[in-house]
Amino acid sequence: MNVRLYGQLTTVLGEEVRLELADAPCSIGELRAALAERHPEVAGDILSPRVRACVGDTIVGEDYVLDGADTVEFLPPVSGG
Amino acid sequence: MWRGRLSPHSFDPAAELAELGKQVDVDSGAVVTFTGLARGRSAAGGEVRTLFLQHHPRLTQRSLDEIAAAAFERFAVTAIEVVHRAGTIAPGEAIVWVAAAAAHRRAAFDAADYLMDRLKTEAMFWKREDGPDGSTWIEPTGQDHLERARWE
Repeated sequence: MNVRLYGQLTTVLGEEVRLELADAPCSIGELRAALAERHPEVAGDILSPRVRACVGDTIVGEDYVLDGADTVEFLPPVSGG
Repeated sequence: MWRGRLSPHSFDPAAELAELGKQVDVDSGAVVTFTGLARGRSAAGGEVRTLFLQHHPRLTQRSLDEIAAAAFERFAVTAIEVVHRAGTIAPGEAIVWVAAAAAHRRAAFDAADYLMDRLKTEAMFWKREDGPDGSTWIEPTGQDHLERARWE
């Protein structure tokens, strides 16, 4: 699974992380937990409900099952202007 | 007519206004513009050498389009334009430029105000201030959210 990151989340992990998942398919919530376990330094951000998950350019919920998706993006709060 | 443009390079607000002036129709009696500039100092007072705006390859453009279209729909305007920078921006450079043309001034003022309140809280960018003391990611402030809520 490719995980693309934005904003604050890139500070430690960069813009893209590859995560091999033993249990596939998994849900967004499970993916967050797996990421937090492997990268505890970003656990607070990756588990935050303020950070939205996005698959195929659509915001998805915690129960969304990643069946067939090869990339998930995590979007922290945005700010333009 | 509305348009949202993502600009990876510096742009000239005066040139944008001149271009808009060629396009507005004879019913437009008012044009309001707002230019947001990169500041050389953070809210905490530290020096900011550059501002970096990360964007999403598709969703950022979509957010600009959605906000521009919503302003066009909501107010009695004849044209809406949004130009927003991405990438690395030096202090003093324009980050964002919005314009609203209308038959009368009130709708143009309101539309420009609305555009900025939504861009501050919903345009899909992640903003980082880089300076001699390090880098800080910036999120919308409580005041930004309050100003956005005025339009609910």
